[in-house]
Amino acid sequence: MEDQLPEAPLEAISSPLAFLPRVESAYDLVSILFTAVFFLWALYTVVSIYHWVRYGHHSWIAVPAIALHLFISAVLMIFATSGFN
Amino acid sequence: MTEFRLERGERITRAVRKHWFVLILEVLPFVLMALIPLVVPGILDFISRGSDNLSTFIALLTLSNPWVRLVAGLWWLVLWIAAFNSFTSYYLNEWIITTHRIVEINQHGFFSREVSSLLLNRVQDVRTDVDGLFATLLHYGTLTIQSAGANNHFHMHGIPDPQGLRDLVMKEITEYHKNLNTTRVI
Repeated sequence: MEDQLPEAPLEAISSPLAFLPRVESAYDLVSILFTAVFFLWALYTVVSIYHWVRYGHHSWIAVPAIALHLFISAVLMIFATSGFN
Repeated sequence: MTEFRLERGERITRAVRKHWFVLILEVLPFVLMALIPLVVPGILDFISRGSDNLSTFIALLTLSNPWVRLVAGLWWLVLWIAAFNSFTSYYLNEWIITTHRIVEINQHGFFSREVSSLLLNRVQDVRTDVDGLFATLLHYGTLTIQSAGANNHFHMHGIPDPQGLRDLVMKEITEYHKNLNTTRVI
């Protein structure tokens, strides 16, 4: 009995995760990871600044604290991605 | 003050936050965790002596490796956010003593802020508690104020100079009753 092989060309099965961005290289992975981290960081920073401005704005320390947070975060993010130029 | 409105003749006598050492104790775990990316390669190197394959792998675990920089940088970013969050919480929590009342401002977390007042004429008992070596040496502790209401306690944890604050509260209570020209019933 001969095996019945399909004559039509085989079609690739589409992945259920096809909606996710395709990762072609390690650099793409870093980009996606860093975008996600940056989004979370930005969300936290906005909420944090809101609380400092609303409840701590009478204090002289509010602006330096926010500035320090932005500065340290920027330094760490630049450091984290500096190897992938 | 936007948190509460002062009444006529009322003024703020002192505003206190937790002692700076309490903040340091809260931030210290994050500082220690920040050392992990710097310490772990050395420990692994020590353990893997004699194993060439492992030594080759560990040799890659330096900050000159972009992947190590990425992981370490993100790790430190997370720790920085956690430490900054501790500082924000430390700063936005406050106790304010006025000539009429004690106000407790408690920031439980983001979008969760509680402001409660205790009138001085409702205070029944003021208790201080200094417990531990650092608390004794650095003069910080807990001040507990019990009011006439059921289950109504104010706990000021980790405040500097709790005895001085207790004396201030007692003085303000005396002044308050003197101004009201009434006698305090305990």
